[in-house]
Amino acid sequence: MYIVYLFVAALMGIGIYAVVMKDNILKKVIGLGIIGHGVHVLLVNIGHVEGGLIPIITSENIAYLGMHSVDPIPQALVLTSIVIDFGITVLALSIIVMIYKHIHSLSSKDVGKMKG
Amino acid sequence: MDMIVRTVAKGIVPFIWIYGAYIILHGHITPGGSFSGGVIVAAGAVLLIIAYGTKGAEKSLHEDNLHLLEALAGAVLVFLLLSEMFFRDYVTVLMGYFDIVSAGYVLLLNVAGGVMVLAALITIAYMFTRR
Amino acid sequence: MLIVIPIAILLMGALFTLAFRNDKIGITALIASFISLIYVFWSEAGAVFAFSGWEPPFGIVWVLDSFSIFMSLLVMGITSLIVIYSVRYIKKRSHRYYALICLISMGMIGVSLTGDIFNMYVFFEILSIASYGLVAFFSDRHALEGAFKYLIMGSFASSFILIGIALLYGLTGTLNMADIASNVSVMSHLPPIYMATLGIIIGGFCLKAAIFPFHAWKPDAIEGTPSPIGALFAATSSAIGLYCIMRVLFLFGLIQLNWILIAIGVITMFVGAFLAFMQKNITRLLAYSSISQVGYIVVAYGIGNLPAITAGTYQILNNALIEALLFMAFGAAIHVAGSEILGKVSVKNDFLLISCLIGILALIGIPLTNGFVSKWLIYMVTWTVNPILTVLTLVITGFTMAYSLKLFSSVFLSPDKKTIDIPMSMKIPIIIAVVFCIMMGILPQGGYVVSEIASKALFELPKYIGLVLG
Repeated sequence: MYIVYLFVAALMGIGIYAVVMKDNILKKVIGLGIIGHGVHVLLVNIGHVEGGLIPIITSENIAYLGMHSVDPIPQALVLTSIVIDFGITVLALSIIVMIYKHIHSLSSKDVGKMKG
Repeated sequence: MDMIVRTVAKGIVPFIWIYGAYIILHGHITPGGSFSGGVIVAAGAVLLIIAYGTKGAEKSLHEDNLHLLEALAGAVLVFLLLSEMFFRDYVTVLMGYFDIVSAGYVLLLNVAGGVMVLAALITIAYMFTRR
Repeated sequence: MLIVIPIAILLMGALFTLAFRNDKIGITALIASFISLIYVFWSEAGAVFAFSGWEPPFGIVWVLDSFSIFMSLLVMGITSLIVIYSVRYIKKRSHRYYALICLISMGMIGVSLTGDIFNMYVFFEILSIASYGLVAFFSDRHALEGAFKYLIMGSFASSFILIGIALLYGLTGTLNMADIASNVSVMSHLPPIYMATLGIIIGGFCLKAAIFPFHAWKPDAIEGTPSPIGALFAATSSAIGLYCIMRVLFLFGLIQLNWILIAIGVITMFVGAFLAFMQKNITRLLAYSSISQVGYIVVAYGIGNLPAITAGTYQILNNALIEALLFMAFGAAIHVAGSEILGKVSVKNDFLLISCLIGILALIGIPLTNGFVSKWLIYMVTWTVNPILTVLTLVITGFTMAYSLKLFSSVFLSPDKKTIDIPMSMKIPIIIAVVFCIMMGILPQGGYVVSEIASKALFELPKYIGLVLG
């Protein structure tokens, strides 16, 4: 039953490994995306109810829907968070394009020496 | 790009745009809404940019027009969000016209948001493919 | 319901500034939103605004608490000074600059005023993304390296904040701040999962506020930016980060003596002061000194009683003014001299001499400046907890005196100086900041009363819950 939390931990571990240990800065940005997706899986799982019903009110199930339906709020939070992470990825990629124009290298050691 | 690519792109992009408009306009019933519909419309425009190059695509999708479109869509969005306070009686008439099943003026918000998203994404695509 | 107007003006200002490539629209939007913000707070302090009429536990509410009003007015005031200063500083591509400043201001006002925890995260992200863009504004090597480091670390912290919010939503079942507070306050003993969630959220916000283990992005980020943006970062990013930390602690009812915060604050003070000695670059030195000053605030917030929180809040206000003054004044010297290295900038200008001198005296905490008042309050509250803390704080004040006098003497008192002239629009905000520093040093009661009213709001949790949910 707790396998989803192990999956989230694995995704975040892979993402953190990519951000910290990889030398290519594009791989670091991909790692940021993986961390974000891990958090989204956690968010959607918070709203899950065992054997839950779809949260759409029709005229028959209005009496018992409140107690047994799946929570519809976390999926709205995940949509907002996906848009925010998309904005951050676009900004990171445009900064990488400008860095490449300066030093013609995608290695993070060269980025660290950019200032001299 | 090649003539085959250009002809196929020219033929298929209207269908992509109609599909994107379908997802924007049906955001209150089916999954989707402003953001995903805007991304699909922008994907069609990116196909045009790839097929015709930046200079060719700029003949129809000029960047200044995109900025203006985004600003106007943002103004419409802010006006709709503020209108509930200030123009309450006009807004209920507007809601009466656009009231689809029980969605109020979510349709107008989806269209405004979708236009903002597509203008922003096409601007980003231009920025990345320009030399 | 007038509270939405400043945010709407800022959003429209940002979009239309980009559409018409005219920077006057952005400047007008910022000044207009500041004036409308003052008017809204005058007429509606203490109100609760529910968006679209949805009732509080289900909809998003904005609460005009006195702590929120204090923070948003402070931030908008500093932004207005920066805008007047940067009219002459930024000449190329200025429409993008003012659009980004509009977005940063919108983010800061949204973070301060909201009463819903996910709304706070969304506005914090707007603020962060706009600030990543501003750090990379001059696209030269320093700016891009600082922007990349800041982006990676900042979005890492945002993911952690989102994990904390997800766990908090799973534990309490609601996103509204007052509802979370009322769910948490009925438990007499908080299970460890709540403490873990609190730790994750506070760790994420500590990175945004540049507090000890996570301060490494700040000097690189401030070094590459234009000087007005350096002033904005040093003055307000830590204020907003600390506001969020205090808000989360307030919801959990844990505003009390927290030794962890005191320890982190002391280490931050030491790290900032030690590393500021070894810098040869003026903006890096000022950035490390701002990290050190934030350590004072964290120590004061760690001791949890009302006099300590008042001292910390007053120190936030004074720190914002002093850092803005220092960055603007030294930024004017750097802008005209053309170099940033200590030893290559030596200017002779009476106006800059006096304003930098007052700024440095206020930073150290000499009497008759506002820095003295808030530092004296911090010495008094640390004495009641443990006298060793007061000794440590005084030692750091000594270090502050050392590096700031080194900075001042190298820029203004070296033998070969060249006379420079700075434009009038860069003088006006410096004059305003100096006048505020001296005035609040001679007559400190006004600032003290304001800080006390703002801090009292952090101790009245039942009243807050009743205001929103009642």
